[in-house]
Amino acid sequence: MRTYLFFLGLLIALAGCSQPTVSLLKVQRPAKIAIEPKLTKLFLDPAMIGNTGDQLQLKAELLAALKATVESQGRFQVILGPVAGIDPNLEPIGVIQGNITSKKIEETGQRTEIATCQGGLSGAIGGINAAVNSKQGITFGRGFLPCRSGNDLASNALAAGVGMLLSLSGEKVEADPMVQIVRVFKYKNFNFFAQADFTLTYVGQERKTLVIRSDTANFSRHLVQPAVNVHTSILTWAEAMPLMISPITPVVFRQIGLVDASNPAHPTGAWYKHRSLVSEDMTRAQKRDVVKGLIKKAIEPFVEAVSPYTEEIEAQIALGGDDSAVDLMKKGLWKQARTRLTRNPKKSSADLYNLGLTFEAKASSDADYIQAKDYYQQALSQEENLIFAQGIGRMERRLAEARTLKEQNKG
Amino acid sequence: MKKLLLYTLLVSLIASCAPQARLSVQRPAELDTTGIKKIAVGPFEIVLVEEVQQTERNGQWDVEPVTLTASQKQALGKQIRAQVIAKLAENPYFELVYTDEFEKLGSAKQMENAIAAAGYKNKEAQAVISGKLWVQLTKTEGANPAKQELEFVSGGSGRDSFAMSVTKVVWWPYKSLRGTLALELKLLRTVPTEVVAVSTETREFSHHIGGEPLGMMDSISSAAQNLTEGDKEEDKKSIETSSEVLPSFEMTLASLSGSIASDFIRKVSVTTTHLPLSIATGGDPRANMLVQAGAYQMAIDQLQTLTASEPNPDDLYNLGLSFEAIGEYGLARLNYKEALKIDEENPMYAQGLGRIEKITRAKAGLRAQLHDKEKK
Repeated sequence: MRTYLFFLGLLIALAGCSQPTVSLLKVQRPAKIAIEPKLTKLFLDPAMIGNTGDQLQLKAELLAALKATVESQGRFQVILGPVAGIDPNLEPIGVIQGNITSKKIEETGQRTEIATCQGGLSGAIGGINAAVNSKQGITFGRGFLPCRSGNDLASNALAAGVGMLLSLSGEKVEADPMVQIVRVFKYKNFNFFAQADFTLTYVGQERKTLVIRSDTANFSRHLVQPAVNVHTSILTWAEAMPLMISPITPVVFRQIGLVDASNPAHPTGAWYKHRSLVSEDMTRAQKRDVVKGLIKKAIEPFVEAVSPYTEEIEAQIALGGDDSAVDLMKKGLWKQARTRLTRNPKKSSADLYNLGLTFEAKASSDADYIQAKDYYQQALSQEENLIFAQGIGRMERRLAEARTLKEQNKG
Repeated sequence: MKKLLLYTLLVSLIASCAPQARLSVQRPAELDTTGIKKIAVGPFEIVLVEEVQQTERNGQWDVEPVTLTASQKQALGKQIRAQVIAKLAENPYFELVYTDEFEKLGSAKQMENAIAAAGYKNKEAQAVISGKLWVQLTKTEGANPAKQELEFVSGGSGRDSFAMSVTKVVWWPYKSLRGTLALELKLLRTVPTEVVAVSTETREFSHHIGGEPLGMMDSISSAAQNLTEGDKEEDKKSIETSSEVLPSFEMTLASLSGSIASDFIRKVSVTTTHLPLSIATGGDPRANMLVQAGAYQMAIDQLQTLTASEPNPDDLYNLGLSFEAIGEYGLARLNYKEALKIDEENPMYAQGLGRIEKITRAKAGLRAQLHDKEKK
């Protein structure tokens, strides 16, 4: 009883220090380097982007994604093609050059593992969990006992937990039948890699490099085929007979056969060579999604360096004020929410905080952070609330970072 | 004893969720880089790249070297160079001079000779970083035979039940990737020409999939490692990766060289680290909330007014903490001292004072370095 009380207390203590749930908000952040405001056109000439090592042929898609991502923030117009029809002495431009590298590795192989096949309620529950969650399928030991992989921590813990509960309740007095087996399974591994090397050069009355970046993205997935039993903890008659006749009898032929069954290099173990992996392959649509993800990840740091960018932050929307404005904010319609909140003549503390959040979410300069901080302070002066104070803290950090960045980019 | 352990666990759990402030603390460079603010990045030479694929089938080893073309080597050099540039760009105490003037010289030796013999005319860069790289990677694929104990329990109770274990010889196929990367980074002052810092760091890499099952302790440590890695991945919002897949050559090099570049920057530049510190809870609740929320500037304004009329030691400590958070160590020390004067037995106040003394004593060079960087 005391132990239960202790753990109950522990749980309460832990629950007490848990943080309130927060929403993930998409907010705009200013570029990491300061670029002259006059520079609004970036030229991205495919001829100036090398792709000799681009095995996945990402170049065209990556350049299109780079153009779309940079332009979506509204700071630059990106022109795909060579510099033409512009005099850099009159209007400065930016030129992006670089190189794309990409690679795909697909390899197949065989693995061995130990599995536990168990009867009783614990074995059944562990087996069901393995069948539902494991991609290796389910095999059965002697006596139709469902097997679960030794590496399947969740199913093993579940079976052990059920067994412990039954023992504690006095329900279970008999040991469950159990056999351990060796299984082999075939796998296919996928590894996709992309690297984007970019430089941004300012071309105006002077010419200077503003950014050099080399960023990588990697994806890997391990797919497995259903496992096959090859050795079991039960001695077969063929194995047991010679041992009964003479304990020093050498290993019999049958046992050699069993041993080789898990050897991927032996004809008896080479079963996997003849099995197709088609059902476990990645679909074309999945591969396309992976490529999209790789491109997004590889261009992200360059975009964040040169252009305002969108970031997800953890911040709470204050409730108790204008509900319609809250709905607009949840949909990401920050400007509409701001207009609605500004028009409200009697702003509650929640409204003031949410108004500050609209400035933070669409910040394109330090002035927006200062404005947001001001609204957070007004909210805090109306009501003492940790969420409002956190808003002020965020803005203090952002403004301090902006000062450091300015210092860094002063030149 | 058991009770004591349980209470210790409970106390540490509760202490870990007490309100904390995350403070940024500046650390000085290990090497004196006074006078250097503007840095250019020169060539990165690939001295050696060795990649070997070894495959074993029934004891027969097949070894196949993988050769890289000149353009692949050049791309590798550029990748590592760009990594160093990216790390330097994140550091606010150096200003990067983006020029390919030094890189065009091809090797670090040629660059040093050119600077020393002809004098460096470009007044922009006060120092240049160059690098040399050695890489060795071995991919192995094989299968080890080993004995395995398999358990058998007949089930039931009493005499009917029996348990035994049977030994079987099992083949355990595996794949592994092992590698070493050595990166020499050199910081060369242009006028007068002198080597300010040289660092040769080595990173070893090993990734193994398959093979024999781990023992109990290894399994626990592997599970714990996977959990931590999982958290890290989540933090970075990475795309899907699996520990059951060997990483690519390029990805391995990118992560190893990034780690060496970070170490080098720590040696030659002021860096910032983050410390979680406890907040005193006995003072003004509003100020306490502001410190907890990281609104240090506003907390300072409020606590200064409060402590001027009524000097509560917890408020003074939190004021010191806020000053410490924004890097005002002198004012932080003053407030920690005041708090300690009122309550001499409070270890939290003494720790605050100790922290500041440690920062100012051990970091005597920090002020000079920061002053030097600001002056430029």
